[in-house]
Amino acid sequence: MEADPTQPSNILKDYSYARFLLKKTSRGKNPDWYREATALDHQLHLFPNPLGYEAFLRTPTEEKWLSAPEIPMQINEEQMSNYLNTLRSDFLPRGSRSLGIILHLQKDASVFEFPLPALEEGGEQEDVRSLIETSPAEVLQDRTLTESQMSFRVFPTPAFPRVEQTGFAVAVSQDGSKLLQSFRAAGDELNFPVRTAGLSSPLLLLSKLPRTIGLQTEPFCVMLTFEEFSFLGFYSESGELILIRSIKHIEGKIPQNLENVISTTAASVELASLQVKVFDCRRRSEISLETELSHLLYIIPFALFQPSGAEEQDVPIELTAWLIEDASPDLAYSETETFGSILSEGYHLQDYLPSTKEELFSIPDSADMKILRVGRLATRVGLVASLALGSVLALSAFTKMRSPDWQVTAPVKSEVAKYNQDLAKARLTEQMLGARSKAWVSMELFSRLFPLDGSVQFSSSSHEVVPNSAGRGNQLSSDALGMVKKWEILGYANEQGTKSLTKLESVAEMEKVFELTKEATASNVMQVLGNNRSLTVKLDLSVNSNYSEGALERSSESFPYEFTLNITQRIENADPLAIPTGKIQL
Amino acid sequence: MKSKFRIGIVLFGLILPLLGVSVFSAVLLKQKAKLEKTFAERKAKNTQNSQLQKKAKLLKSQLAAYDGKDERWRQLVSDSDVSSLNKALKEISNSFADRRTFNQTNFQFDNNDQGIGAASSQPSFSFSMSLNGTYSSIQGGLLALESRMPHLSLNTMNLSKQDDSQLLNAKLTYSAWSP
Repeated sequence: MEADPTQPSNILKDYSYARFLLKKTSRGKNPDWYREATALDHQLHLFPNPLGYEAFLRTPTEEKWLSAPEIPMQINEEQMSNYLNTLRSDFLPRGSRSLGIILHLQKDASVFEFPLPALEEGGEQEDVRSLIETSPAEVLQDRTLTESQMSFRVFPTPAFPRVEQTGFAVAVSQDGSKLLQSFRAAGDELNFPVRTAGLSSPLLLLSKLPRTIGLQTEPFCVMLTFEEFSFLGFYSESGELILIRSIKHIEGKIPQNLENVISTTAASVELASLQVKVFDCRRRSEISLETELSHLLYIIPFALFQPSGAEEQDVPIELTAWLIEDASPDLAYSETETFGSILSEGYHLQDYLPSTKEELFSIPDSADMKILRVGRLATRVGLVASLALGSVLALSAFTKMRSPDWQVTAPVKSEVAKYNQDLAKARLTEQMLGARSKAWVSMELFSRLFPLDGSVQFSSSSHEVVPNSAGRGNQLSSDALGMVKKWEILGYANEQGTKSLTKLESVAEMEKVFELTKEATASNVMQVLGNNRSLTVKLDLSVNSNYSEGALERSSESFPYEFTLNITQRIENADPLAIPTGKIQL
Repeated sequence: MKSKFRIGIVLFGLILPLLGVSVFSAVLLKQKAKLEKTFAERKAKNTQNSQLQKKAKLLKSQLAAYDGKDERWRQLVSDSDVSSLNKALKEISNSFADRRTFNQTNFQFDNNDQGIGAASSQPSFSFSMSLNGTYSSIQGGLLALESRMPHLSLNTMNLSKQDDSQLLNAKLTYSAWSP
């Protein structure tokens, strides 16, 4: 299942392929698939020679470089897979998660000056750095240059006199790109992250070796001599790189005009008293470099150097330099921009032979895999949460449906309403038939008003009950109506009887009579209640005009006094014995 | 160079699954809310029913106090008419051996509502009657009448002593609740 970059993108197919990679490869789990080759723990460094590629392996557990099997110049896919398998089984520790293949490009390195104002200081430097990779002809204003033959990268020179130019373009041929591609393909096939990088040897060495020669009091030139070219770096006495220059060897030898080139170049940037620090970067040499240079440099002093440790191991100088720690206190010029910010930005480790556009196009990048993993995780978490929620819901539903509250009990509303109605009817009937006005009770009241000793004689009485408002058809403002009960009693009394009558004029005394009547008749209407009932009493006592001392005993003329006793009982609407205005439902 | 896989991965690997899970969760949450609501409604209904049952029980016990009475009262009102009244008066009069101690002298039916009867929507009729006799006989006779016919309410009562006699004249008007 391969994504074809020539076909229009189908997002569903792209997604399916990405999922396939996530499921079937370690791209989703192993971040080394997307790390730089130079950042991986295990690295295989390759150096081209006429027959093939010399290989050296570096692992975190080994202090020395291990010589790995040499790779032939022509190698097919099967051989590459076998080679990689051999490396994994025989050289790499068990459980190695990845391998970085670093091809050191030491066949050529051409230096180009930027035409003004192609490279300027400030924010555009990054634009130029990426633009030159894809459009070198445009940046360098030279139509003959093409990125398909050479790879171009920017290398800064902070001390160049022209402020508008702070670097040079360094180009190398693309020999070895097929080899690295073959390594990457084999890694994909074996599901083993193989990351590659093609590093320019002179740029790598210029980032390390000048610092090993110690602090200088005068400007100096570092000369890196390879089999086919020499690379020159001109530095100020403070260690800042001024410019770089490449000199192609003629038939394997340094050109005769070397001194002229160095002095002319130095003069162009106004450098005097220049010393040349030479590093022999060749693996194969017939004559010594010192002898060769002694015939080329007559005026300009030179001295040969080699990094510490180079003698102990028979490895290319790049590998010796590789182990030099940038932060080592033994190294000079740690405060310079040349060996500070420029290196920290990785200019010396720029990949000249990166993956092709087709390769990059056909594989999801690290962000894609991260989104895919996050999406998968989020979906799983969401599903688990949903299932948990579903389970809780099911359990809750089961519990609730088994609860007695789930079964709705038979409604009793109508029953209650019926009982209420029946009770209301019963109460209304009871109230309607309430003993609010009975003749025999009034007669009992009369009998308890006066003493039985004959001092008071009853003559006549009238009693009347008047509702507070009466008349059917009137607007009744209350559920029940109170009433006024009036008694008027006429009679006669002697001297002693007047005392009893006078006592009755007191409401409190009359209330006592009412209470006694209530006790005797069990009639609640005679009960003296607080707010809803009130009593008033009025006694008119006068001389009996018909009184005669000789009248027949117990006749009306025998009593010297006559009286009229008026009793009024007011019963309010709120009284339990008020007259209901409603109608009994029969 | 932007990855060509990005749109597909974001769409099919992130947005759609999360949308699906969200919709599923939303449906579950909605069902949960529905279940909770139904349960709460049923519980409230049952609580209400339970309270109503208690109330019904209470009302029933209160109604028990009226067992028999209520029906009898309503029967009394239903059967309330002049003939039943006359019948009762006659029986009461006959209960007195000596006519002089309790004697009904007059009975008059009054078609108009008066007094207490006029204060209510309950239909009623009025009547007046005259009695003479001793105080205790009249009181006893009226006690018998009013106890037997509790739907009678006294509107007026005039008592006067007969000349040279221990007997009383009584004139009474009543309202009687009727069906």
